[in-house]
Amino acid sequence: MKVSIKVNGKQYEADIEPRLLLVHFLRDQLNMTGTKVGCDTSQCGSCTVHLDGKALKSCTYLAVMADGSSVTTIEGLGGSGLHPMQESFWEKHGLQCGFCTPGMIMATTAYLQHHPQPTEEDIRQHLEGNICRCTGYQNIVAAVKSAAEKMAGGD
Amino acid sequence: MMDKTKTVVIGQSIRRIDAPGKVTGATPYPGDIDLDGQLWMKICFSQRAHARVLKVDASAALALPGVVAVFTSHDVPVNEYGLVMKDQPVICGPGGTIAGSDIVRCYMDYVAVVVAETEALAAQAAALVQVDYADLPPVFDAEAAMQPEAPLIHHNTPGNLLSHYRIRKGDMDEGWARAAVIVEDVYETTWQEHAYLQPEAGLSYIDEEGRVTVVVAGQWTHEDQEQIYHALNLPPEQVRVIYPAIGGAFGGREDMSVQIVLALAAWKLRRPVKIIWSRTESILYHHKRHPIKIRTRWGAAADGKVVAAEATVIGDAGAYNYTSNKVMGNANLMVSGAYEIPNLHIDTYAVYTNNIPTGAFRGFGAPQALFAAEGQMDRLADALGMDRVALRRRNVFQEGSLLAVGTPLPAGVSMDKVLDQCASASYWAQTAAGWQYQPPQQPADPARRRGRGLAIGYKNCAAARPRPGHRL
Ligand code: FES
Ligand code: FES
Repeated sequence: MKVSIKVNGKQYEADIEPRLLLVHFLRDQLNMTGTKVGCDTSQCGSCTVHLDGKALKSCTYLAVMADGSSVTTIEGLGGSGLHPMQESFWEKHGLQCGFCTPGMIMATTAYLQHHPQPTEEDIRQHLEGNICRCTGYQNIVAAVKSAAEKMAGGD
Repeated sequence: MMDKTKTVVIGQSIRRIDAPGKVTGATPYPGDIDLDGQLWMKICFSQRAHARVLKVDASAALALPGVVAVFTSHDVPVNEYGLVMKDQPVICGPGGTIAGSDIVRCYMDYVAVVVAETEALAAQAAALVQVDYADLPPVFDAEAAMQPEAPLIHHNTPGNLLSHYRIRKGDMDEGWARAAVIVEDVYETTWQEHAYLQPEAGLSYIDEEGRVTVVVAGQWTHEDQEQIYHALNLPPEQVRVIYPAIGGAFGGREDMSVQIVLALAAWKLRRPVKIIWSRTESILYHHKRHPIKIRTRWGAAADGKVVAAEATVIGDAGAYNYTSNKVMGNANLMVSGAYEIPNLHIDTYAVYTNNIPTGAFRGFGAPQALFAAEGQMDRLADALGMDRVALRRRNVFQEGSLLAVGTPLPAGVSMDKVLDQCASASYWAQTAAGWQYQPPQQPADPARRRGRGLAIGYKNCAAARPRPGHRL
């Protein structure tokens, strides 16, 4: 099937199998491997991207469903530099192995758009769709908090 | 800021050098790496817990267009591997020179490996591989496996007994005679999955100098390399192992998964070969934390001094050793807890069964053993009518204390202080009558109750090359 999907600001036209998942379209056809596959069953959140501004688990979404939409992946989040969320994950040690990190960052950046001043409890609640096996979450929560503060401060 | 004229790092917050690649998605993990012309692999796992493999028929799989090769036991030059001891066939099946390499001993044994032009084709072909088995009696319980009538899982391991460690310290009769209270219980733990987020994945290819190269996530680069060149019967310099970003391990990658078969396929086919396990495959086909059964009996004098402890510790190693003898060695040392106990009698066993192999996992045998030790301390405190912190404070290791095996602890032991601080921060207080638990106020909502437990953990921590006789 022919699809036209905008990814990180660039329009891609492709002829794909109807059963192709969005995550495999990104990883295998566009070579954007920053979006990870941790579970392939919608549980771990490693595959989170933005679809028209909303966080979405791309392992459970057909690429054809994204026809005409705009997708942002971890590769496109920061533009030419680092997004404040990326900076905060770095500064606050919000990662160890880093495999969950792209998904964590995509999930939390989408969240902050509508909840710019989350409490620690809000952040924890919102992260229930993303699994991290390394960090114990403390520093992830700290990173999200710090990013929210930075973004509110306008820097 | 860090003073660049001196290399002072302690007390400084150093920015991680690996973070930029990880927060931008630029860092490649094993599943992210591709090469032009690569083939895809799927593994056929055993469909029996214990059986002799009589025949592997790959003709239907090979007849599918796009299937490049199916490798079986016949293709592995030296059909054995293992991190500590080489007790596992690379691919189980007939025809080898190594005794027992035709036997599958658990559901995670390999019986064939399929290589095809696409991942989907490889999966389709794997389902077509026909295997004839002659069933053997299985045993799924470690204690049952120790009985004389139990089926033998490895011909050279009588009683299925991989290792037996003993600690004999002091005089047990004297210890029990001093005890005012004695508590006895059985503690059992179960398997546990590492669930690192990057499932097993890798890519193998022949590099520009003709060496077979495996890009994979692991925890022992050189041990992986050694096991690969041993199985492929190649000189060491013909095999390279490269670890990109790992994607979590927690002990679960100490033992190998896809390494040897990837190398075998790339070596034979002279083309890059890739594999990525699904989460389902990852959970089914790599080792777990040991289930351990601990029968234990502890005695304390009226003043709270623990005077004697005995324990029988049985770990289910599953079908292959992996690091079982080392893990159980650790459990053996830890099962008397972080306490100096003058009289000890401990027997610790690692036992083969037809369950999934067990091995390294954060804590390496200590968590299971400490679970029993701390349970015993709580029971002793209750039996004595003594506070749980006070009892631990009375017995906890100090500088110079002797470990269960008689090793004196060096200077710098701070367990007593750590215990004091944790207790003070957790609803305990030092009163005129000694340590006392001061229960927290309960939230009004009855669905939200707050409780506090207290346990001490300790663990040895040093580089240990996992080979007999090579402890550093
Ligand atoms: S890979 Fe999509 S949620 Fe885990
Ligand atoms: S950093 Fe490893 S899973 Fe989160």
